[in-house]
Amino acid sequence: MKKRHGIFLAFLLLPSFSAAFPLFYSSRKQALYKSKIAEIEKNFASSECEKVKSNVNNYFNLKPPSEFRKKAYLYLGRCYEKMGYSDKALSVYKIAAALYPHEKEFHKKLADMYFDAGFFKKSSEIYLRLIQEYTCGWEITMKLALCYLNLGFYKKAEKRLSQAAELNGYKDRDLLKNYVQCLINLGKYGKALNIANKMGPPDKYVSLARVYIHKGDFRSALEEVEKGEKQFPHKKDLLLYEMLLNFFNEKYYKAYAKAGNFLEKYPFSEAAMTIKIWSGYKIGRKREAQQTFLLLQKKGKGWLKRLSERLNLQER
Amino acid sequence: MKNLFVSLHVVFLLCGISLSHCASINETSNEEDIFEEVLWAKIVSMPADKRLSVGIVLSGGGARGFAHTGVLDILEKNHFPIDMISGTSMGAVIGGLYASGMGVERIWKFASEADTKNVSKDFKGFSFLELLIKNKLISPKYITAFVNDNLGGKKFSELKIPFACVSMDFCTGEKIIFTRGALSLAVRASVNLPGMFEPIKYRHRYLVDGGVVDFLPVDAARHLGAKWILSSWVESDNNVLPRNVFSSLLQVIDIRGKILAQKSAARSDFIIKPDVKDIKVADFNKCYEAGNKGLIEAKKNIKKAKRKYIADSLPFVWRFF
Repeated sequence: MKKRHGIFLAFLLLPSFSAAFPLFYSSRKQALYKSKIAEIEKNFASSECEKVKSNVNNYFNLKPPSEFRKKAYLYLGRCYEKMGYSDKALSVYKIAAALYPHEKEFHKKLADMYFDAGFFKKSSEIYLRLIQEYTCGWEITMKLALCYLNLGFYKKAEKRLSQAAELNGYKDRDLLKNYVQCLINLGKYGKALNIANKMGPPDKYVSLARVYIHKGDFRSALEEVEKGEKQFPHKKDLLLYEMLLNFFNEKYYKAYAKAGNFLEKYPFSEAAMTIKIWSGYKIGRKREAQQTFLLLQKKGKGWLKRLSERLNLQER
Repeated sequence: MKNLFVSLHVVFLLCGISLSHCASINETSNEEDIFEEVLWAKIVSMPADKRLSVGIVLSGGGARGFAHTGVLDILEKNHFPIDMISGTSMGAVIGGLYASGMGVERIWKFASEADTKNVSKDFKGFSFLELLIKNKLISPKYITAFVNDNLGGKKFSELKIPFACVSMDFCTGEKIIFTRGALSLAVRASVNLPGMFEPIKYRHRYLVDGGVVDFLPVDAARHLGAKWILSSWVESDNNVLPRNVFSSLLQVIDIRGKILAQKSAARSDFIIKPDVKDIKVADFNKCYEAGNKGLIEAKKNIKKAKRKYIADSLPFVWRFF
């Protein structure tokens, strides 16, 4: 009787077992996928990119469902980036972005890749879509602005830089520097001065000076740079601007001395050599200027060397 | 073929990555850039007679010519001195509008509306049918109206920037450089396609498009007194075999223009060549696209142009430092 009951019970429970089996099986598979992903994650964290590559390949051979592939694509892409295979990383992100159209991360990665490669039109299109579809932070807004700035769309860039600056609370120095540059390009000098004033020192002095330089007010530019130099006597940018602005404010003796000081710190500075040559000519120290010119000819490599060549021919 | 495309894409991308530092965002990142910035600001703040005066030369090219809008936009935003302008055909239209004081923003608006505005009607529809059936040259009423509406009543002497435009005497083949008189007539004559539009009668001459005789009018800018020339040249691509009378005619004009422009380009100090080869003369639905391409190309080249101008100017401006 008991045996009969047991068989009957088993018979009754059979459908429930058969229904539960896939669940049981799938939860086992899910656990396997999770463990594989965890392993890939671990490889990535310990910078073992070759292992990431092979583990991702093996993992994909298991044919995991779409939702379990996302992370694998991300780690694979990031590994290719780390290894310097930008083309492969780009391909991975392209595939992932197509497979997961609503995954912001892949689109952002794709846009970043295009941005770093200098394809600003392509990256701007993706950043713009991201901003329109998701709530994005100031970084993506700034990246979009930088695309526009590089493409020459200054008005569009201004709008995005203004938004990014608001979102960021006027804190990021690179963002504000670019904002000032954009406003200079648009000839909005008043606004550029306002933004420059929001920056912390020493960037504030450099940015204020740059606005005055573009306005053609070299005296005010020099004043700003001198204020900055008093507080930050070793800041290279400030010293360079100070040397140049002294020259263009016709303070040739001071420019000559500043160039000399700069060369003591940076002996192969082509900018300082050039100013020493030019101001040397202006104050009648042609022999010293010639010596510096010969040094520039010997050590120089770039545009400033060629610039002084042109001038020196005329001055001989 | 697909593989070839992929590998080209990869090579292109890798080249792009290696060049990414050139496309740096902060424009004062090193010594040379700081030096250039200050020296540039100093030179361009000088009056035109104390530095090399800059002439901007705008080539012909029909709808492609709207690329000049982008070029002018970038020059303006980078405070490039524009002391005088010369233009042929569409270059004359854009140059004339700009020289008259019209802002680049408004010229951009024309570019975006070019297809919907009636100007393109002169190149299609009934007027064109008339040309083929009646064998009679068209009097382009929409183009004439556009030029008159925007430049009518203005004289060369009243322009904010000195300007010259070029047309050709249809009887003698002489190049006529306009620098005086009524602006709209001169611009209209410069944009008067031969073989399609009626020649314009002017002082016993019959004038047609200047593109046939001087596609890139460097001489006209020199005539105005420009000492340093920046040319914006919108080149054509003639690899496609024309399929009708109209496109054959335009292709002949394009080829002739290209040959002429090559000689003029050699006399320019700097050339910007927007990549608009895929846009045809009468593609008025692509004017805005042409403008954008001009803008992108100019942005790519602006740093080089500035450095060339500084280097060429330095021996002249040195005594004023």
